[in-house]
Amino acid sequence: MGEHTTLLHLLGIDSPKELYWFSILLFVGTYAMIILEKFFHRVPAALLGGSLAIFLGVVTPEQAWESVDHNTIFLLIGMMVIVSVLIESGFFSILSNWALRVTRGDPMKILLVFTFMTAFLSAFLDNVTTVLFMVPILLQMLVKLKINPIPYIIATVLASNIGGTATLIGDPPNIIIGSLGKFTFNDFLVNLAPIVIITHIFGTITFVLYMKRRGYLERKITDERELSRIIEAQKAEYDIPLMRKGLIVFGITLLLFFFHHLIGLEPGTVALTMASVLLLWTRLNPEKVFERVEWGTLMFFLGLFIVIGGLEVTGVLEDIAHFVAGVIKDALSGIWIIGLLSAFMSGLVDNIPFTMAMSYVLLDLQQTVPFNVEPLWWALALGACLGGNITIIGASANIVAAGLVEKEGYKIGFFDFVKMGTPVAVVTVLIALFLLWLKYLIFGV
Amino acid sequence: MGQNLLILFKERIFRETLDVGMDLAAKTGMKVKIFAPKLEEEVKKHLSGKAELFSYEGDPKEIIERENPFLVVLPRPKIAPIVHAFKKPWSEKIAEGDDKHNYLLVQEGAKEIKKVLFYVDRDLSSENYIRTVYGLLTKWGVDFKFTTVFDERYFELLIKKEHPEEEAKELLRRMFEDYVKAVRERLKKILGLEKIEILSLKGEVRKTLPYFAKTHGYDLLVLSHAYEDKNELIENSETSVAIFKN
Repeated sequence: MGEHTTLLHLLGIDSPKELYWFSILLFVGTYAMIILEKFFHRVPAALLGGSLAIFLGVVTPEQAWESVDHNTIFLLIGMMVIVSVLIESGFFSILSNWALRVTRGDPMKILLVFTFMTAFLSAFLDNVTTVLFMVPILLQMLVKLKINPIPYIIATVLASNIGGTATLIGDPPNIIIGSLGKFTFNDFLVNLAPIVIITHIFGTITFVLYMKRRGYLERKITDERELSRIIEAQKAEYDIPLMRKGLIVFGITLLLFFFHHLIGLEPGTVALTMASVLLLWTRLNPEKVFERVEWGTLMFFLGLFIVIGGLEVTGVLEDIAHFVAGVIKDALSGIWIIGLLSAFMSGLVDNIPFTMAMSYVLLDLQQTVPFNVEPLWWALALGACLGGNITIIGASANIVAAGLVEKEGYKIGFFDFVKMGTPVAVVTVLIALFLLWLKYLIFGV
Repeated sequence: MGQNLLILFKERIFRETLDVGMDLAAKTGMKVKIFAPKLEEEVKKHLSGKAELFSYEGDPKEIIERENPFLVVLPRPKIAPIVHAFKKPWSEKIAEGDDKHNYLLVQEGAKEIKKVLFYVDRDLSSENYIRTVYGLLTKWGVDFKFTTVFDERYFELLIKKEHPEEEAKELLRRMFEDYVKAVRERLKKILGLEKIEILSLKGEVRKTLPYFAKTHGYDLLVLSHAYEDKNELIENSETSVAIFKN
């Protein structure tokens, strides 16, 4: 096999130092294109960034492939297929009608019911799955009520990122932390769940205040008779046998998620396998089901993973992490440093590759520093998960939600998300880190 | 097989099932036999002289086999769709598992049957099915409409892949018209009628038909045992359903 030749190699600018700066340049360029959404669609922007990284030789094709987190991609495809079947069965239409009856179109009730439900589900389901579940219901309902769905969808996504922080299986960064840090499901429940419950209350207060100030919580349909007419007129088109199969497979998938660490299977493997079983069992036309899979979102991830893979391969992420490690003097100050840095970085890049790089730094740190680094792992989890709420590209669930609403003709702009997400992220990160710090201050490290 | 009608209950007696069954029998001249585990005095008094009443124990399927009626009328309890996904009423199980008898499942809460959708498939509905149901509905005096469903989704993906958007739409439109025309001609020939009105729908039969029935105020949906997604269609219906031999 001949030597791998790249464009930069041919031009003679392929020293590690030069590649290091090229990877940063690619990252900044891609990120700029994603932000400048008026001029560029985020999917080709990320794909261009990723393919340029290979084209220029920042990463080899093999390194690019390895930098893609297969678990995330498999999990997304698998859950999108399962949810697609459930949508086809009319399950979400039924839930939407039920929610409409319960809340009777009251925007505040809708917001609270959905965000609490989402946060709870997110703790036991992957955030992406929860968002795939909740967003279609919410969207259908708000459209019927003539309410702008975007702030509600953003609030739901924020709640899913907060709720997902509570458990090992709730958010991909936690899966990575649990796996590399050797923490169990119960470790997460004991150390993070109580903090997350309190944090969620403050997060909710923050977005409720924001939405109230902006007038997003006003009823659009005030006539009770018209509201009753809308509620009564809702009749779902459904397919019970399909729903039965979808719910059975979904239930088994959930069960396997709970025990995935015991059976040694990644959630992505579980989801993809169960999705295949469901397709085979229902005999649905796969092409029809795949129409609902967010291929754009998957392509976005693919590109972004490779761009960030470039940072990882050239050592940029490692340098950032090592720099931070040098600053940490003890566990209590480390909580703030690791937590805030993770939150900030998670807002900028997808939190999965960053958590991975940071986890390896913490593993190194365990061997070299004289203090217990366990608090730093929890700070990393809180920062990475809650920081994902800062921007739309901070967490997988945000991007998936944006893709879902786009399909229905709406758009969550980068700054629409920032306006609502950043204040919530700041409040929740600070409160969560404070509670973690307080816990170790009182009970000792 | 005699022209008699069997009304069968397994647990409690549903008054609407009795009323619909008795109305149908009265208008079509069928004799009625009613079987229930326990017959209340009030019901006995109400039906005195109009039907033969029997109490029974055991498997209702055995009674159907033994009596071999023209039509079996069963109650269909109303269940929320998500619950229905995991709990199937006994009457649905009987109707789904037996294609040797005609069934009428009367939906709980259905006070009377006035509007009926009579489903005809171009390829699957037999002459016998069309004649039998047409005869019964005419005698019953209900307002019924022939309906057929063209599953365009089946062809849509294939056609759209090989043809430009507009051309594909035109092709699908023509296929739909041909399908409906074929059903109309078939009905005209079998029933000897000059003009036939058909409600032509598009979509997946098992979902489209029940949804159309409930959103357009139909009380009863009639189909044949030959329809391959019969069980699914029954489960998806929120109206009363009749299933006839093909």
